[in-house]
Amino acid sequence: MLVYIIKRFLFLILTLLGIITLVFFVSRVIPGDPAIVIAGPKATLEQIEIIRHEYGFDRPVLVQYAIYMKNLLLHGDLGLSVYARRPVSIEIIERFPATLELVVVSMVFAIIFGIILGIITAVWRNQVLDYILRSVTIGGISLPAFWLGILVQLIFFYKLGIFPSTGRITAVPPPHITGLYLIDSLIVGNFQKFTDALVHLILPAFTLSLGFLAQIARITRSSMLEVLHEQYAITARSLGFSENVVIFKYVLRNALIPIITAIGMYTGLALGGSVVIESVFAWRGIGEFMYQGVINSDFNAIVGVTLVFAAGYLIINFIIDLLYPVVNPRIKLE
Amino acid sequence: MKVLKFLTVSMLILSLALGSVILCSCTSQQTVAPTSTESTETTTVPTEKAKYTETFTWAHDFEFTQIDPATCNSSEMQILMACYDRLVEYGYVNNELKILPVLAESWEVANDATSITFHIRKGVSFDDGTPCDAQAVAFSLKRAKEIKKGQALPYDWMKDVEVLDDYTVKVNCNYPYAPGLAALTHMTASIVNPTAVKKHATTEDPWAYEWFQQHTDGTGCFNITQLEPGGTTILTRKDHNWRDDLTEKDFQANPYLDIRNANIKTAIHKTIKEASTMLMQLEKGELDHAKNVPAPMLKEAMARNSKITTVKGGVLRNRFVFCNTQKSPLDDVNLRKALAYAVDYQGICEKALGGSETPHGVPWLSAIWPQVTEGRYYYDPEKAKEYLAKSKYKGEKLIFRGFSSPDFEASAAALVADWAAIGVNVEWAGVPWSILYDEWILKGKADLVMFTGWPDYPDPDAVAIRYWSGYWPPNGWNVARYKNERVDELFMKGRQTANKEDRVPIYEELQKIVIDDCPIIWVSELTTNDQAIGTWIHANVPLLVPGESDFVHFELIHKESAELP
Repeated sequence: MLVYIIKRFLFLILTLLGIITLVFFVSRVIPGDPAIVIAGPKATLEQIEIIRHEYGFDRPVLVQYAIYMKNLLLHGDLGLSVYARRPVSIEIIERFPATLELVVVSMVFAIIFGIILGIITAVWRNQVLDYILRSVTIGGISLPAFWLGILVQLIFFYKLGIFPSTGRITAVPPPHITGLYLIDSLIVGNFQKFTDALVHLILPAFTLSLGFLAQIARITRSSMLEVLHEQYAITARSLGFSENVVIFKYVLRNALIPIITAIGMYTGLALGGSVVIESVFAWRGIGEFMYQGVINSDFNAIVGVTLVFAAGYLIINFIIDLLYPVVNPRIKLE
Repeated sequence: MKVLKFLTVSMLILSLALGSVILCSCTSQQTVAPTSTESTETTTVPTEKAKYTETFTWAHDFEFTQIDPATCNSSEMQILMACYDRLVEYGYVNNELKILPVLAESWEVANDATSITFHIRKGVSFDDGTPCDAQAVAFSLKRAKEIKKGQALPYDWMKDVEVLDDYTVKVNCNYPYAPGLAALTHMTASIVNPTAVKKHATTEDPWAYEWFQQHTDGTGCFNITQLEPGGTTILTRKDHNWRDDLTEKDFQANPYLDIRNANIKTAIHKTIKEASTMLMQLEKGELDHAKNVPAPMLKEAMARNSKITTVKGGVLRNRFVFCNTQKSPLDDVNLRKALAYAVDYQGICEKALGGSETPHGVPWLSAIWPQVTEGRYYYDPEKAKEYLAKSKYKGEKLIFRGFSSPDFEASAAALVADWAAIGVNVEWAGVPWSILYDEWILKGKADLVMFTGWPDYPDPDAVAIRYWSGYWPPNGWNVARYKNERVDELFMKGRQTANKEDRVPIYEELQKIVIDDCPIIWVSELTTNDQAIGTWIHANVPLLVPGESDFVHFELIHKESAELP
């Protein structure tokens, strides 16, 4: 087990280094000069040159890469963001809680409702309810997130006035402790801020989660269908166990492995999905930072945020791998 | 099965409830609005001095990333204008563009245009009590010149700033420079607190640039109390500001100083990328002002909601297409003229731009003296074909580039169609700014480049510079790479001539040559700009002050809370 964990961890580090290298070089070959973005449309050539030198853009790409990797590995320095004009690491540290809060709430919502819908559609397979819910889940997968975001704003903010349309909170946030507004407002006992942060979270979280909810529901359904008529399920029924016990104790548990794998993948993808959602809902997270990085040729921001997304994806899947033996003791990690 | 049934029933109820809510919302009645789209900028408001009680909230699609006034050049100006003052600013007074006193009460420009002497307003101080005197002014202008960071404008023309007495400074020029006074209206010439600069300066950062990226310290009415670029930034009015003690005489000299009816205590700036989201918030009263909403969307919003209106104000901006005069086939003036006469100026302004811009056809902005209209280009496809026949064009595909924004895309599509109609093959693509500049302008790869531009200061020099050969990329914005020795000569002569009357014929001759050479196709002009605003916002002076672009000056408005939707 320990050897497995060490091997996986080393593999994770190597994968991250590979991703950084790839993104570093790809971001440098795409057209666009970040010094021009910083200098602005009225800057002189002299000012642009000063900025190029200041940020090291005037050096050969390989030298830039060597300096970047040295700073990253020795000091954890992700370089300066030309867009935010601050260190990328600081910008990520400040913005990451916003993305984390959004992704966690979205995935909790997607997992709970996705599994419930999957079970219902599997148990009532090929019945009216199954057809309706399957149509809904296909719709959920098909809807583009940016369009859905604007649609829910139109309905729940503009028409009904139930939820706010943008931002994380109305004006002043709670005192910074973790950066997660829900947690921080609870820690300081400010329930008004907690409610405010929660209602701001609902629309973006719903928009981000809908596609994943639909995917989890479909995977749960197909996985449940595979094991619903296995011998042990039939035996359990013949021994007089109630259908609830059969489904929740035997069938669901055996169907969980592909569902957990999917949850791991989707949680990683949700981090990347935040790029679009955060832009639509003016959510100041790392997804929005990434979006600005791409628009403004901010190489360091692109590499830094990609590193966080990739690390998040790999770590989540690493944890999921460790969970397999817990869910199914027949699986051993080697 | 009890648990399963419970889950199923719960999900069904939840789905039905959600479905009903959506259905109800989609079928609910919309507010029918009057069709009037008139501006409310002249609405009468109470004249007594109002208490500062209201919160003004506005959104912009652009994110500002720094707040040092010496290096600002973008949307952050709107915020900084409320926090800092300059010696002079400019705005429309009785429909005439004028340079107006702010921290300078008066000034004299030397006859040979080599210096400007400013007499500074007494009794103005920074928050920590440091007086805003001649020393502070000289220090700030020196900082603006020497900071050489970010987007700082070049002040190469400025030699030094002499302190003549406690409240008089003399700005000396390196050479005769007639536009000097106008150049000092730019936001980068804002006066900052020298005590704060000295306190936060380091060996590596002698002008405390890093500190001023996060803090404000000026003589304006507001201070930033929460800074969150890309999120929510909050400005709070100071307890007392020098404007509170102004007299009627001061207001006559500069109506933009008039804050008697401004009742804004707090101003909140939000960054919202989606124009539709901004409009929704405006209609719900969560925003007082939504900036940069495309004209067609704004028209629709006004038609369905009577609480949405627009304010008009002077803007100095035009839309034009640079022709690469150093690259074949656009080095041929006949082809350039063919393209200019092929453009349906009226059609583009009305259809592609939703009526937000007016046809142009000449190099000079109408608000900048002295505009020559003789020889103006207009839509004449037959004349275009005649010039095309005389040109060396053989059907090559011309590369046309510009920004990737809705107004650029719409106007470019119309231009490409107009040129195709006379037989010129043009390929358009909208790209981000860094790629546009690096790939297509700097390397000169594009044949045609669309821009919207505005002069940095209200002086003909700032318009004429586009045609000066010393301003070719990368040194400047003569993207057409146009060169005419007589134009160069006239440009330098106009810059070094102090007297306005003597400068008029110089710029008239320059314009006539440029019109004949046609290095640029002047598509449209934006003389007034419609900005989305709630009807509960009023102003007794024009809300939009030109120069600093089309920003709503929230320190000049009056908000009626009772009218909120």
